[in-house]
Amino acid sequence: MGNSEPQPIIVASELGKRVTAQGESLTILSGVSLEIKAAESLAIVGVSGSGKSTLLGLLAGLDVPTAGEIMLCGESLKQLDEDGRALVRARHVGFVFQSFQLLPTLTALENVLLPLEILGRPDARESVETLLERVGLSSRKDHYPSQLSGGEQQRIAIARAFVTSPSVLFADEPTGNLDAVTGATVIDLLFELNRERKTTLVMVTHDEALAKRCDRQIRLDAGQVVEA
Amino acid sequence: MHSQAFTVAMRLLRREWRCGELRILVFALVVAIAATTTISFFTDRLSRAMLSQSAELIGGDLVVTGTRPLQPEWLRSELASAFETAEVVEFSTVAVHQQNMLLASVKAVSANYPLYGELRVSPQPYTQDAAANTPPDPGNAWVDVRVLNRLNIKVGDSISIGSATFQVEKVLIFEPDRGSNFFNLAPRVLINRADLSRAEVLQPGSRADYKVLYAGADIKALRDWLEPQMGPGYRLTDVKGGRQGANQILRRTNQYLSLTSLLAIILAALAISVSAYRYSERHYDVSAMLRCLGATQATIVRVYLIQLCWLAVICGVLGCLLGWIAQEGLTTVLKNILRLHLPSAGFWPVVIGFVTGVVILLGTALPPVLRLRQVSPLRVMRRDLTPLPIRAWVVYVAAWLALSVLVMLLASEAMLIFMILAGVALMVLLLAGVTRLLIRVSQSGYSAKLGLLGRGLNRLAYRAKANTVQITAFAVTLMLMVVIGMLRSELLANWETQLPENVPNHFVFNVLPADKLRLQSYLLEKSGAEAVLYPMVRGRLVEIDDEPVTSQQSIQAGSVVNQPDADEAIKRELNLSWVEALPEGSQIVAGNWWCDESCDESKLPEVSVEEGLAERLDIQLQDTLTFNVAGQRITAVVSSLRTFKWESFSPNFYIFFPPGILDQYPATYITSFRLADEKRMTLTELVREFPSITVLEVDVLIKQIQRILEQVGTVIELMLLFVLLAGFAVLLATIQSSLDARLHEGALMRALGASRRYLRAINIMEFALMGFIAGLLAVAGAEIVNAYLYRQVFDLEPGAPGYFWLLVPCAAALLISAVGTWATRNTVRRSPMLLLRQFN
Repeated sequence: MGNSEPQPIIVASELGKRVTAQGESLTILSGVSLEIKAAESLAIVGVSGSGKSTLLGLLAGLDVPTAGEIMLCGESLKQLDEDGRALVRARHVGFVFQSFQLLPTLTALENVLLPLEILGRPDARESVETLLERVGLSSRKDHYPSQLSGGEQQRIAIARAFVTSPSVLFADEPTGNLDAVTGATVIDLLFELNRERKTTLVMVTHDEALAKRCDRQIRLDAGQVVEA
Repeated sequence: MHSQAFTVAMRLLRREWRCGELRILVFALVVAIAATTTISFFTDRLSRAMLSQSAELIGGDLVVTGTRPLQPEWLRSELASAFETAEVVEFSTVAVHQQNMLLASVKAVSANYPLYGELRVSPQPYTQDAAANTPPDPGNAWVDVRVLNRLNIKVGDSISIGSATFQVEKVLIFEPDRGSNFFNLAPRVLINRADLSRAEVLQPGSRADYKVLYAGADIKALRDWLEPQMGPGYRLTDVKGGRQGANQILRRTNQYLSLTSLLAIILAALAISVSAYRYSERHYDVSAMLRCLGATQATIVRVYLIQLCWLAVICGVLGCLLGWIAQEGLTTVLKNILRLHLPSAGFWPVVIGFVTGVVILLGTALPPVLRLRQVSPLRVMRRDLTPLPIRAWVVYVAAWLALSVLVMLLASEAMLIFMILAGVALMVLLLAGVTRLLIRVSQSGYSAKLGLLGRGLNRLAYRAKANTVQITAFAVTLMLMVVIGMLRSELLANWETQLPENVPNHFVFNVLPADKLRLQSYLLEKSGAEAVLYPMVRGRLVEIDDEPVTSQQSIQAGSVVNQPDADEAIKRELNLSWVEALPEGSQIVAGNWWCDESCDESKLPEVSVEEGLAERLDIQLQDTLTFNVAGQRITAVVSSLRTFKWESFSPNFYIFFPPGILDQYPATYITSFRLADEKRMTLTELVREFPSITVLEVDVLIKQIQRILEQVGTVIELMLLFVLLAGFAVLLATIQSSLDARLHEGALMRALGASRRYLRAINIMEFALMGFIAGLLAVAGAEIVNAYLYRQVFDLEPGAPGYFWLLVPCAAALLISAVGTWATRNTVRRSPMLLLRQFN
């Protein structure tokens, strides 16, 4: 068994998500099942409104499905309450978002340090400095997000995502707010770090070229997997 | 887990402080704490000053008075010796110098006299007086200037009282406990208690008032010990019996100050609440991100609680420091009133200041901040996800409860303050309703025809909900500012009119009818004012409704105990007067001033009774009073009750008859007049010109009261500053609460081609409209609040001047558009691209 295939790190079975909006019930996802192995990279593609981001949110434990079950890093998210899911996120998960989501009142360095502080490891300052150097922004560590360009902000966001050495990295349209050249640089960085640290990558994108760089793709249409 | 929450909380707090996020909240909190601390530091001292004023007027904190010598143990027992005590004996006797004799009111006092206040004496008649803190030495006498005039002696001459001879050492100008009933007093001779036995004037059965004055802290124990020992003929008087004018001014000031601090607290709470709401709204993203990064709900709560507590501590220290400085300032201003040995500022006000800070901050800021716990982590991907809004009533009830707790801690007159809080709550509801209605009206479609004004109206209507909140906040703020501002002017103006510059400072009595006209023209020449001379006839009140007065008195014994005047009114002869028109300074509180003949059905003469006397003797309208005047009985029916303003310093009478009833009885006349300081030497001339008259100077008393008024006015102005600061904080906080929406909208409009000028103009127009509407509502609200406050609390006539209805809305429009334009200056200054990126 020792050299067998890596164990799946995320297992989703028969996921469904319905919401009620203005009195009408709306199905966003239905019958989605998938497995993602450790260190694998997966792209979730589809047109706007196909349910990509909803699926990402469910897999990351940011939201709960109305049907089905998710195992993330060996933990059943269904069994956990919101605080339990928060702990799973803190220990195993990193995020990169389309709109960067840096805290405007903290410097670049402090933004990267924040996940460590939440985990109670504020002493790991060295790894923060290393990561900042790795993303090429050690000279701008004391700058505030508003003083950085979009590409720089996203690189800080990537550093923040990797600083806790997560098992899984979720990326939601990481290049959506960037121009093509900057986007390419950021994506290169993301994949490099992913490889170096053997992190599982789950990325939502509508950029086919970007999707192709992942090991695997699934396509969503109207809340269902149409191509895996 | 706790320490990481602390680290995160402190880091975020530090950063937010630098970004200016918390400035208004901190400003408001500091103002609230400083106002509370100042007032609680200060009221303690002021109320002591008030008690000392009362104590001065009766001579001590507790006074035993008897018509017979007092028990020696009342002075010497263990309990009594814990107090400072002084002995006073007052009696009327004849003072003699050679052939001249004068009925004088002699007061013999022990060495400790006076316990409170000071005697004022001058070396020669009509010269500058100075304080004296001990009574005359044995063998010496200090006398009224009248004694010198009537006995025709100078300072240094000797007079005899009984079998003792005294050297007249000084002219007595003022005794703190002399009371206000000036014209009942014979001229005063003040001697040392030790000389009393030597004079041998007091024999068993002699008529005299014996007093022990006590000064000290635990009056209640002393009172409880003394009371059972009081036989008939003894009574106890304490400071609560004192109802003098100066005391009333200080009482009102105290009320005004607690009201001011409360309003400052309410306003600050409003500002904090508005800032905290915005703070929480701006922290949805932060909280979502923290959750996303794995922070639990408990951690989020901890993070924000730690932040709030730190803010409370920082603001507490700052506020208490400011409060301490402010009260030191106030105390300096009032040092002349507060001439008692006051304890230094204690620690308690600091505790109160801190508690106030914590309660206000948690009460108003906790509900919106706790909501951050419910922010979904999914918000990082979907910004439209906001936590369920907390129900408005939760916020209001929480804030109201917090304020109520504070009131219970702080307010000395809790009922008054609760009424005001209830009033404010009612006003908020009312104002919110009216504002909503006004905005609806502005939505009705006419606005398109109004150009820029119409654009302003549209903007108002566009953010109807937010603007309702804003206008209500403005209106409540302006209302409270108008209330406290009007009250201040009204109080000061009222006091000023009570004691005008030309208030009479001399009384003249014993004017013979033959001298009446001549004196009038003499005074007109010297003082420049027409003096009104009131006739005065001595008489005794013998029956009320055919019941002999003595039994009435015993029924009323309970209320008479603390009113030394009451039984004197019966025991001694009263001064009865008659007058055609209601004298200046008097006011009818029940019944009517003289009827004409058509309503005179009872055939009995009418009589008007001073309200205080009527209360003490339970005299009602239509009661019949029987007087004994020069051996004849006169029965009259009470047709009116009057109050009298002591401050007018004109002669007052318990009993007024209409002209024609007493004319046949022997009368003398009394009047009061103003004599400028530089003309005081003419008094000697006056007395020589009219040898029968008696002149009494009340200058010292008037100056004392004028000084108190002046200083109290300064204190009131200083405290008003806190309310204005807190009000300003609300304005800023409220404007800032809509800042994001305004910045975003401004950036979009500029991106679409709107000029800065245009943007600035509609900003100004919108704020001016809000200010005008809020100003109108504020005056309406202030009228209602003042109607209660003035009548029930401050004894003033309500009513804002008419021009307020124009002045306040216009001033508010100006103020709010100025503050608003300044606070939203970034909508026209910052690059629209930067702004749009910020709101992306």
